[in-house]
Amino acid sequence: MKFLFKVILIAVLVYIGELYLPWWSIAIAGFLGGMAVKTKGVNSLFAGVLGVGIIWLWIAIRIDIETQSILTNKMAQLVNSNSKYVVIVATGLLGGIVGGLSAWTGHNFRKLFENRKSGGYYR
Amino acid sequence: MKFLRFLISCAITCCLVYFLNIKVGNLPPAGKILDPFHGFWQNAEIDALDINLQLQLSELNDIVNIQYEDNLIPHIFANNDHDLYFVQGYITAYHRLWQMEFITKVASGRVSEILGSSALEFDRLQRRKGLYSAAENGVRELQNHTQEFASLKSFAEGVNAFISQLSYKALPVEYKLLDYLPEKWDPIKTLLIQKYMVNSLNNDADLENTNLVKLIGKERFDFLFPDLPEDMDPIIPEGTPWEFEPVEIYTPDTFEITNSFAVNIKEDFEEGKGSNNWAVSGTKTENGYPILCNDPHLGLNLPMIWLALQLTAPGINTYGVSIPGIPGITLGLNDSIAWGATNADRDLKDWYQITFKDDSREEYLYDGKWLRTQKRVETIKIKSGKDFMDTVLYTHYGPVVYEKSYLGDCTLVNYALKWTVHNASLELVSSYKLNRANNLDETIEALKLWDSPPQNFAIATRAGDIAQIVQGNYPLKWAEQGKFLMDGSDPKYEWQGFIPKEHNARAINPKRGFISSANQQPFSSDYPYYYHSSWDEKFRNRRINSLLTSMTNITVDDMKDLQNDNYFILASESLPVMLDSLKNEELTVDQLEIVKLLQEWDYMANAEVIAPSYFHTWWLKMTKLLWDEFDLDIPINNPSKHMTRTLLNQYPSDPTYDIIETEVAESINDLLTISFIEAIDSVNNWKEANDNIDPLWYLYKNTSLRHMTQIKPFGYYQIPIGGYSGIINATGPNWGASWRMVIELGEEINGWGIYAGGQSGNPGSPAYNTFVDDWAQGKYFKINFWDSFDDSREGTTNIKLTNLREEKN
Repeated sequence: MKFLFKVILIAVLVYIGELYLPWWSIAIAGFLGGMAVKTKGVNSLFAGVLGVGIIWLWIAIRIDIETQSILTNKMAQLVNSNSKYVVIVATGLLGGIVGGLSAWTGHNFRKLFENRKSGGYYR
Repeated sequence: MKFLRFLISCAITCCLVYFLNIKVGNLPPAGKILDPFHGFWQNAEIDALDINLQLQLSELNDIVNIQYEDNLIPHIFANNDHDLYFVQGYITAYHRLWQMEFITKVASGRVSEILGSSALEFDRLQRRKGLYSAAENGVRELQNHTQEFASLKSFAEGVNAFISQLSYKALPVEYKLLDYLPEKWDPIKTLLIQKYMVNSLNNDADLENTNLVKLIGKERFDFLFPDLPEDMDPIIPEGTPWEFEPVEIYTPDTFEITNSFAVNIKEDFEEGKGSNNWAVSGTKTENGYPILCNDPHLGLNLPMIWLALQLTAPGINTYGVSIPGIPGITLGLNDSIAWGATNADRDLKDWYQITFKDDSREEYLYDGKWLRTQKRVETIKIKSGKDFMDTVLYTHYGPVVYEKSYLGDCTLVNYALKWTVHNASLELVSSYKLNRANNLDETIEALKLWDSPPQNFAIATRAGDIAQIVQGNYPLKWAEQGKFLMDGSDPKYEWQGFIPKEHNARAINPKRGFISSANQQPFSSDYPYYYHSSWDEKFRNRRINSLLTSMTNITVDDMKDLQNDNYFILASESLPVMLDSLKNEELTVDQLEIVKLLQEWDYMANAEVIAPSYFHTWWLKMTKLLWDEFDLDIPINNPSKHMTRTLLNQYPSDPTYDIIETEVAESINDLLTISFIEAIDSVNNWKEANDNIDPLWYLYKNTSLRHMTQIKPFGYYQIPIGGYSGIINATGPNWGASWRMVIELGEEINGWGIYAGGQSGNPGSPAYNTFVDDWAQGKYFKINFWDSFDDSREGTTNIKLTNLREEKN
């Protein structure tokens, strides 16, 4: 449940961030989401991958369908591919990788303080 | 340990984000461009008419209505000049910002800023030609014409209003791919686009001619490169009297052709570009109204150089195509007249050999004295590279384009360029007045200010006049002056002013009932001034004139058919003698079949036939062997196709048929047989490389619409269209009838147009290629010329632009 919540949180943050900031806002979204909800490190990473990846993939697919692939096909040819899916998957993957790494970073950031807490320094 | 883990993960993430945000090698910033919220995805359009214009603009003086047709042609209705040109600038930028800005970079030699060091040599040449300082001169001169200059300023304001609203998300996709941003617009950029057009329309072969004379002697040169060949049908009908007293010109007793081989220099020269225009008077048409036609053949690129629109404000109502970046309508009609243009090129560029005093090159010899050169340092910025500094020397003739630091291979090569493009001129005032002309007299008056690039203006009026005005600023020259490299130290080679504008050739309502031009020589040898062009056209004119002469009861459809005529005149005049000269006994059965195919061909170069592919290849192979004596590593042009045709028909024993490489002396029969076999092999190779499909003409010649940056997927290839250079439908591999229009000037305007492209410059828009299929098929869209704004008009998308301040009040 926590994992799913984390994915959704990151996705929402991505959506809001992209309204006001450039593309790198997804790293901030991943970081914040990764930090805010406590999970295992590896789960954080996957939550980031999914949270950002799904949003990017979803928007890309929606645009591709709505515009009947008018530009997707051309961009695919530009990277010497005959398949528009290369571009769509690359979009999702790229968002996912940045999302995963930033969520993992957020998780690691949280850990810094958790350790100290468990060590009792600030009790 | 935890801290280290955080640091490492943070560092990896930051590095990744950093590298995805910048250009790596040739790859665009991957993160920025793939972001579906801001990247290229946002350039994909569902509906081109879903136009997102900012509805309130504080710069407007009044309300402006824009009515878009379904094909994205806007009709702008404004209440004053300022608003009209402001909105033209705004709308042009909305559809074509990247294109218009890119052209200014091409003209001013700034392509390296965008594409990197691969464009450096190109940029250096552009700057050495002095196009930027030419544009500066133009702006200075225009500033004295307040009203017309204001239109340039309003246009620039409109472009800038659009640019200032642009976010990365809305940026044209080319900026995203090449990772740069648009600059503010300025009237000088409009002038740069005008100079870009001049540059692409002025041709020159002086240095090539100089080399040729040295190689083959003057007599042979004169035979192979005549100034005025005999069987031409000039623009101005023969027998038209010259009603003026020509200006006296000093002619030196002798002149020398400078003895110099310019080794690395190759000027732009392309056979194929050109244009047609004609107008028929009411006496020859079915409805009794004049019909005007025009099809300029320019480079075929996307976005296309034309943007169609209507401009309406008090004192002006005009429709036609504009060149993105230039205010007003370039070719089209208004409520009283219609006009079209073809290139009227002559030798407008001349080269002078400069003698420097010493290595410092601070002084050069002129009339026994030493004059000072001026230096202009050109700083060329290079994308991901160091700036390149190039020093260009200026003489009183113009820039020393070629010298030891640029393509001059020895200290003797110091060539200064004198070129009419450098003169301050007022074409934009001319077109401002032309757009508003109410009758023939006002049209002629407006055109008097048109200097460069010289054009043959065809005009038809609703009052029933037709006229052809050969308009431009032509240097006054003695016979053969400037045809070759000249000695820059001797004042006798100076130009002696210009041919007075009133002495330019023109035909007004000629007896034959039509006027026409197809870039051919404007007149015969009886014109009182010297004429030389390295480029004039020698086929289309005869076909157009003979057909127009024979036609009566002409309709608009007849004129459309004529514009799409695919009769291959060169083939009709050469193929019979070529086939007759073949040594059939040396050919195989398969080869003889092709002979039969060519014998039966009706000379129509239609898209889906194969004969033109064979003829064309044979012609290329033949000319390569025929003019093998010119196949040298120095800049030289072959004699024209027309001369080659004349030679084949009238000089069957000329020594040129000998193939130099072989020991035997070949005859015309040997040459044609050898080249025929080579041609068939060549076509067979093409077939093998293309899955053995038939070499249909359109597949074989491969008419393409390439994107201006050559980004391949943004172009269209093997477009199913016939025609070729020298055919009325002059559509070759990368040039052709870019815009076609047919306008009948009756009570109602009955106008039709089409161009090879679409109104949107965005490769992600459905309107990027709207007109391409129809253009290829010879179809047209209706020119909807409207008197005023009417929001009840069906099938339009209406946009109302209002003034912000007014809205608040």
